[in-house]
Amino acid sequence: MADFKTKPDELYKSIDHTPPKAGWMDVPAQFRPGNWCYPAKPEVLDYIGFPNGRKWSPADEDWKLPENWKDIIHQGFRERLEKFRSLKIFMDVCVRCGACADKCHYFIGSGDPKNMPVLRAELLRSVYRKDFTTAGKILGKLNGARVLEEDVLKEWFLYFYQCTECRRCSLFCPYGIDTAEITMMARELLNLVGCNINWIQEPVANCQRTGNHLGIQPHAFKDIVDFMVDDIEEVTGKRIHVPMNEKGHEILFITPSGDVFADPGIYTFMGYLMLFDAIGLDYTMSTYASEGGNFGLFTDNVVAKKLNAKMYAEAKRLGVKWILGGECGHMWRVINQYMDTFNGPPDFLQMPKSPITGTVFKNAASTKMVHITEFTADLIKHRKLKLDPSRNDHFTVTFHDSCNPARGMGLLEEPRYVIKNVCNNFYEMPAQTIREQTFCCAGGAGLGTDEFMDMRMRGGLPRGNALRYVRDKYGVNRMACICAIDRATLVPLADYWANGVDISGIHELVGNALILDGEKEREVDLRQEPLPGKEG
Amino acid sequence: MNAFYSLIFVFALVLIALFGVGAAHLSYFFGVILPLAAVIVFIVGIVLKVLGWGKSAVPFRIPTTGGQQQSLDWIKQNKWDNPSTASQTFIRMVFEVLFFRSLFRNTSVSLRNEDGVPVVAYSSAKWLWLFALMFHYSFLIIVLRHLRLFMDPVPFFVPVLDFMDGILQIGAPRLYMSDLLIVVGLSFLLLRRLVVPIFRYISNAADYFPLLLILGIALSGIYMRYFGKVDVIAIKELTMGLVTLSPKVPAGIDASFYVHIALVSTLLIYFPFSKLMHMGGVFLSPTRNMPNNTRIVHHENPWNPDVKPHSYEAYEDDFREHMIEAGLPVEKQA
Amino acid sequence: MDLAQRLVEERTELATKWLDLLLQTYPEQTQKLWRRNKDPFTNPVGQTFRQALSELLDLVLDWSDAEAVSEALDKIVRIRAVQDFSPSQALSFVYLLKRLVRERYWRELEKAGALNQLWNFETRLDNLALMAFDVYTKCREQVYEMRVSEVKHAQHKLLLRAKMIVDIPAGKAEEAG
Repeated sequence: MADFKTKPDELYKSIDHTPPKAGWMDVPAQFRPGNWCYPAKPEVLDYIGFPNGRKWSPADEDWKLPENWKDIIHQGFRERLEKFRSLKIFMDVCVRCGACADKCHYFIGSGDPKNMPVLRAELLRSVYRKDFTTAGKILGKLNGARVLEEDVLKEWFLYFYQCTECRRCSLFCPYGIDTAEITMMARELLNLVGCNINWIQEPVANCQRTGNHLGIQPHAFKDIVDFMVDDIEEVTGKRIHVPMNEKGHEILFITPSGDVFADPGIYTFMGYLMLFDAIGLDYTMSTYASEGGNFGLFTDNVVAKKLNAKMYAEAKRLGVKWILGGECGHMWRVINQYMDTFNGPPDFLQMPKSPITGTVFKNAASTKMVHITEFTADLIKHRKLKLDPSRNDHFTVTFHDSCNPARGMGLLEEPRYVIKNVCNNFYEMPAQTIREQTFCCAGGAGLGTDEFMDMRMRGGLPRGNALRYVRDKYGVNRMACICAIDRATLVPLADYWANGVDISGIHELVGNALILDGEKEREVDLRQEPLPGKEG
Repeated sequence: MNAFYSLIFVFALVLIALFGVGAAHLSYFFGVILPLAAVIVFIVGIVLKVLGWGKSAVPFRIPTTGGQQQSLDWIKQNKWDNPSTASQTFIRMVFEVLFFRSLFRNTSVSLRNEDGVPVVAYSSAKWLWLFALMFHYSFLIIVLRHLRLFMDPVPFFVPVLDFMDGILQIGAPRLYMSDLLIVVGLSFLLLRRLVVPIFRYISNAADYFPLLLILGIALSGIYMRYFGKVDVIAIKELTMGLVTLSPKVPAGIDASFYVHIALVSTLLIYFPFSKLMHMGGVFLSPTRNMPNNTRIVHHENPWNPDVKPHSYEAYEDDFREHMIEAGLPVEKQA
Repeated sequence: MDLAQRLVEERTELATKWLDLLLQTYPEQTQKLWRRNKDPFTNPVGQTFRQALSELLDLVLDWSDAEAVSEALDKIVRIRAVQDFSPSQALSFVYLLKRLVRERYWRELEKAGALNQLWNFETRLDNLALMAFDVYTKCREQVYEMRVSEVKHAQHKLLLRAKMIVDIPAGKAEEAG
């Protein structure tokens, strides 16, 4: 008779997944479905004038790089070291103390060591040492230096498109080393050899031509806004006029185009329109400058400047006094930290002053652009809005600080003040996950595309986990945010990690609570769902 | 392995100094030539490095904001974590440089229930902050104490510092607290890299070497003071000779002194080419040393590229008919 | 010896060992961090695993509430389903418990001639693996559903304008007369 006796552990030797113990330089990049984004189409790169467009895939062995790609990168690196002190300093001063190691949402969710900000930056730093420092040239690997090979470039592509430029690591770094800055530089270098992703470059091309990231033509844009005017009429019984491309108004209003097309951003957009109607604001929108967001920031500073320039150009053409900006994350990083330098100062504009309250927005003295939550908070403070917060009583609300307004601006209290005045039930998520320590939606900086969903869910875990906590503890069913990318990316994030929580912009909640003159008694909210007490 | 190479190298330095002075009688080289050369490399190296940084442009004002911005009058600004003026930024830098503000952010002390038992949890970074601070301040105090070897008369604060540092009145010669603390601080920073896998993973030889080198300097110094009880008068004669550029090497200085000074010289030479330049870099870090006021005060990019947007005219040319049809105002009729 | 009783008595130790084995499927550098950081918000993976595995072990020993087992499995599988694992790797953690129990009690039970107790318990774990498979599939399906619905959401108003969809108006639909 055969002997079936087996040793206890024999069966399980095959399922030992303990990872190899090689040093990080010896672990090549692994491209798996869900952890990289599709590369940019060659015709898109041609249109925006980027070099080396071609058909290729990160999953292929051969990336069809240009012959002299090493020289191109070397020259590009040298040039950027001179142009950006940030890059030079951040290449030199890291002591690898590890304070940033566990601060990145992608690392927290994936456990992949190369998602630690320190190693992400070392990917670039190792090449810097070899090419630009004496010690690195002599000591080589001992000093953490390595030669730029194709495998290194592949690593760059994988990991610099696994960074959302959220700056959480930068907050904790004793020298302020900002991975967002390093990622921007690395992406610029990758652009030089034609390695970039379509979900950034195509929106860039669209914004350039049509003014919005989906490439909607002006008449269609107007149609869509008219749809929303219809929807507002259905909810409030009031028909609102939305000035478009009109000259001679006081204020130009610019918001991310996602608010115009994408669910649930559209409800936020309705909120803006209702607010402007309620206070009789003298404003216009523009189809030419209809994209507040700036996909250029995710790829190249010159492109960012070019796209941003439309705002001032249009403000000048239309003859407005100042510009009001909608809820958007990286749009406000650009406006707060880049716009005036890119294309300012705009001497043809005037110091922003609220026509309703007379408040002068001194913190926008040079840029002449005000954030809508600053504007609305001021209106509420001066009691200029008739509000019925009970119309939001079917929501228990929490607030997600978007990375860029939090760590690239400091817009923390304004949105909270607005929410607390239009909602009765508001609860904060735990302190280590909000305000300046906020966790990213894991889809920012051009990574909010569907083929990247696995990685987004991984990186979204810290946010989702905190959200689930307040959902279970306080019954939170609505997470407000001030970013159009958030409004797209947080929807699946909440579905997956904290099912039952919906996402909305703040001005959707404002729109619900706002009492317009001459409106009918409302039965439903902006999403046409019954108001509390009006069910059935 | 990286740590091992670094250790070997520091040992080699010690042996070279011992051998050089003991057997090869190179005390003039180790006592005069090497330290003078090291100081020159140190100063020139740092100046060149900082000038190199300074040469690079600062195109954008990009502070990382760590609190509420300057906003409406009734909203309280977090002036030190999100400064909007030069003086507020100065205070932010003071906190950063003197108290390691950003590292301190890591400190989350939290009380929670674990299986019914309340547990206070500290994150490791709390320790990083504490020991980093301990190391840096001990080092600073030790450097300042050493001024008495390089100045005559000794500046007033040195004896005060000396007294405070030895205030515990333990042993003879009195034990300096800074000597103890620097060894403790360095040992923690070293062990952390050696023991915790994640820090071992990110550490290069360039991370172990300075720690081991400074540890070597501290230990040789401690040996000289507490065990070797070297001839301080003779040493001061040598060091003052260096300062006044009239070098002489008095007889009777213990070999341990030459080990000490060889290691210090190595540190000075190594400094400008290494990550130790973080000392200078922190002052120039654009995410910390700039106010968050680009909306208030214009910032000029020295190489601002001349780029124009896709013009409105071109846009209207592209879509004019549709715009007219949709009732949108146009500049030129079709 | 009575395996069931021993498992209950030694559950805390088993849970700890099981967690160790689970964490060992991640890079060495990461394990320590996930084991050490006890903050559920800055270390969601480590803390979820710790809590859910302990919960799951109790439920497996109890083996009476299929829904609760499924919920506890969900907490772990949901995370592993979107990490860099093949499906078999993602679910291997169930078999890690099998390995743990077998290594620990095999010899003793063999001596006592009571190996059938182990077979019985392992049958339970096989069922657990199948349940985990259900959860895993559900999570992956959700990811793909989200990819599709995201594209729809992003272009909601465009589809409307292209008259490819109509919005359902508010209120009750009029009945055909």
